[in-house]
Amino acid sequence: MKAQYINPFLNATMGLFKDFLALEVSSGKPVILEDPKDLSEVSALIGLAGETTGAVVLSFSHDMALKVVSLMTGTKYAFLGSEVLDGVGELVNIIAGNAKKDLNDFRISISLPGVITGNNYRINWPKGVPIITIPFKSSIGDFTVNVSLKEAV
Amino acid sequence: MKEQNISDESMVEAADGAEALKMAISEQIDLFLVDWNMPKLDGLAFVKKLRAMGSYSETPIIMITSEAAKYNVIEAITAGVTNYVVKPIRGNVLWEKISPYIGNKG
Amino acid sequence: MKGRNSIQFRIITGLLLILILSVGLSIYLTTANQKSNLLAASQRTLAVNNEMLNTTIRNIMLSGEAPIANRTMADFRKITGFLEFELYRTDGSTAFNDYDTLNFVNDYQSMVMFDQTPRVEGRNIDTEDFQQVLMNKTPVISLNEETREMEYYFPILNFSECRVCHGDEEFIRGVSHFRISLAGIYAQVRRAGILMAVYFVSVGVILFTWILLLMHRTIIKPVLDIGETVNIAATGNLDIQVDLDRNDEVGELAGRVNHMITGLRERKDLELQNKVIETRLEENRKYLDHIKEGLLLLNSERRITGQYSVFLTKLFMREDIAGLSLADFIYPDAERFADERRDLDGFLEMLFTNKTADMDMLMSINPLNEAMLQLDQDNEIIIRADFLRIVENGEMENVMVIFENLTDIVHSRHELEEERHRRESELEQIATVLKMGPKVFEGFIEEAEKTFESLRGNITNLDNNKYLSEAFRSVHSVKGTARYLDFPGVEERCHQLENLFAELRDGNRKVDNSLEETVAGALDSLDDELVLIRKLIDRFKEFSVGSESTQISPFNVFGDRINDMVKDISTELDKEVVFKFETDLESISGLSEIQPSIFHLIRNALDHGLEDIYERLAAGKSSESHLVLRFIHEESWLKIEVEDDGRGLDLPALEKKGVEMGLLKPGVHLPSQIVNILFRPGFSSRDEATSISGRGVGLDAVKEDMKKMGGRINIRTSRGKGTTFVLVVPWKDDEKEGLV
Repeated sequence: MKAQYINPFLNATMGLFKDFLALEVSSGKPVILEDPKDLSEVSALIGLAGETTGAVVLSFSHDMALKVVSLMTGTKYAFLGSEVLDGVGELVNIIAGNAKKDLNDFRISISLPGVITGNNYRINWPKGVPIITIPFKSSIGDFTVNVSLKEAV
Repeated sequence: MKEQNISDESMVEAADGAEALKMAISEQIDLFLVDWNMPKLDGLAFVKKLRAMGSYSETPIIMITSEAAKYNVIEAITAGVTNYVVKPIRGNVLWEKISPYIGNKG
Repeated sequence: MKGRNSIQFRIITGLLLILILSVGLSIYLTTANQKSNLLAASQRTLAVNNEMLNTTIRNIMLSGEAPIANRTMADFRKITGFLEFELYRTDGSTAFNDYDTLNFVNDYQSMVMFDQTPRVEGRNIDTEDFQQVLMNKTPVISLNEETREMEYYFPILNFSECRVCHGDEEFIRGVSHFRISLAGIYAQVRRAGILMAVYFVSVGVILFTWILLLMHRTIIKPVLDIGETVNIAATGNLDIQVDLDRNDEVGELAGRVNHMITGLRERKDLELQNKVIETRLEENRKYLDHIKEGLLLLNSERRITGQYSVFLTKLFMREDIAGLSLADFIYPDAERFADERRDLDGFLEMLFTNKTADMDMLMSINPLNEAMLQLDQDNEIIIRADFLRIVENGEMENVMVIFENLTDIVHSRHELEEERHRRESELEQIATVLKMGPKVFEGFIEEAEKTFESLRGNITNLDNNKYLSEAFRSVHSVKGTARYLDFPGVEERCHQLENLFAELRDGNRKVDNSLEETVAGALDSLDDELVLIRKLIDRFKEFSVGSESTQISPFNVFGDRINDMVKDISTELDKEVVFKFETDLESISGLSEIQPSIFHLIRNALDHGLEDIYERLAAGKSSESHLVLRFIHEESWLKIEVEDDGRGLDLPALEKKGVEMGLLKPGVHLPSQIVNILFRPGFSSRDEATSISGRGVGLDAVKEDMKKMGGRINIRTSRGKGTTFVLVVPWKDDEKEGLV
């Protein structure tokens, strides 16, 4: 799990929030995620494969997801419908696309982002590797970027 | 993830490539805004199918994509895309790219 | 066409002659025929008549009635056409003019049979024909054309019944003579002749006229028309055609003439078009010769046409580029630039064939947007090519390529950037100088000047491996200090020299003129930099009065500076590092000697030893790394420890590398053996040269330095936990400048 794989996603996230949503956002110190279930209600998952395997997951609370998508589309959403989830997917898609550029030097392929929601979902994290969570703060709320990557031997 | 078609003064939306294709067949669409990544039938394949239909061989198709690496652009050009916009979309950029094609449609 | 040779004339005269001849001949023959027929017929009739007359007279005579005979004859003479009718005796005298015969007959008969009746006037005849008849005793007919008379002499033979009275002495008694006028017949013949003539002539005229008209219509007029048309065409008017729509030979001729005229007209039009094109081409040429832009035109076969500007040939320093493909023109070295050529060809293909993509979508993948091209050994240019599609009649005809020479612009841009950097670093240097005081810099300048002077004098010795290594180390050291003191100019040049030395060491280059020149050049620029730094220091000295006293001790400066260095490098590497500088000592003598090694170890630790935050978290460590620098005075030794809590050395991997590089023999090794290869010259645990760790210079230099000072270097390491490098040098008591 190296910074060179993870930083592109963090940069892309910052970039998206700043440029696209015009929000001030800052990232905090990475820490180990003790309990995977601590992830928020809405998660968008980007799979990585190649030199390193694993996942990058953006996790938003119910409210944060609504706020972010509302900001993005200009429509006020009141409940977590398929449109909101699609919107989250869009966002993550953009992040993944932008991150891809910085990962060109490495043999890594990125999967199509998928969005899951609920209180009881499970993500297939790679085995034997901890999950590191990087907290993000923005003017409309907080969210996390969670990574877990395993080197291909 | 959505595809949006602009037809005359009205806009119709399709949730994925397959639905979009059905719409294109049943109605006469004047302008397409296509997402690169779509479920069921992805953007590139959709464009290729569309161009294979004689009635849509010249209709403007604008691709919306999150990446604009050179090889992607080449793929898009070969498939028959007219122009592209990179996500995140800025309103004025999108307008610039599609305004030549809506000119006389009101 | 007039005159003797005209067809018209010839036909007319010919026809006339023929007609006249044939008509004349017909008339003549017919009338002649008719005449002879009529004459013959008349003759026969006359002959028959005469026979009848004769017979009549004879019979009358037989009865001896001379007066009846005379009267009959006189009556006959009154008939139209009888000109003369007479009976003659053989002596030529007219019968019944005397009584000779009468008397004879009476005598002969011895009786008087016949009375003497009145007599007629007598005449005498004596013509040839009369004599002929007397002789031949056959009738004679003679035709007198002049008088139009027919004369008929008929012998009166003494037939048996006549002999009764006339005796039988004479065979022929007399001749009857008829003279008849044939005028009537001739008149008739002539009338017939005239009629014929009229008839034939009129037929002839009609025939003549008809033939003439026919000739005129079928041949002469068309021929004249054709001639007229050709005449008009000859004057230049090629829009006319012969107006003849017939299916015969003349029609065919007319058709061919029309075809020829059409052909001529088309040729003329073509010539005109060609002239226009030529003129336009000339204008184009003039334009292309004079514009101040690089321009060329590609045809539909993707080849450069003859239409390119002179400016382009000057820009690319190539002539005669017509017929080349764009790839051949831009990248003539096909092997070296195979990828670029392929991209360019692909791009052109899309330009020419793609019908759907917008121009600015295509331009977003323009491969010649600020492309650097090597024209030859000494010349390179930076160009941007703009592509224009030229469509004619809905077909992609050409692509125009316009080249902009950006060399100057890009260079200016770079220069501006460099200027800016220089200014910035100057400012930073001033700040540093203000902070630390000039002594540190003076020390650096001394070291640098010493190194460069020595190098300058020993360039040719660089082929000696030992000297090369030394030079390597000293330049590396200067570089480190330059970095520490924030002199990027010096740092970069030193790095360049290092690279050069590395190539020498690896055998990729030799000590030749070009190398010596390059080294000398680098040294020159380094000298310039040092001069600038000196100036800076002098300027500072001017302004700082009594600043000597407020100077911070070199040791503290050292500590601050290391702190800054660690901060810089860790930010650059995106690693969170907590740095501690632990020492009880106030000052260290000979610090400048040890400095380079310390810097190197610190850099190493930061670069290789410490992990990034994610690695650490994943390994269950704290997110920040820890780096400690310790100075410990232990009896007669000075120990300098650089301790990190990073990855620790990966001995198996190191062992593998060592075997690969031939530094270790295959087999099992002790940790100390493995670790030792780190100190071998040329060893690098990373393949890339980073400006932080340097290339291949590393711990071998450190070891050498330690050796020179009479010290050594130790390593403590634990996989996953960290590494500690320990420098051990003899403790120097006094402040002595310029130690060994």
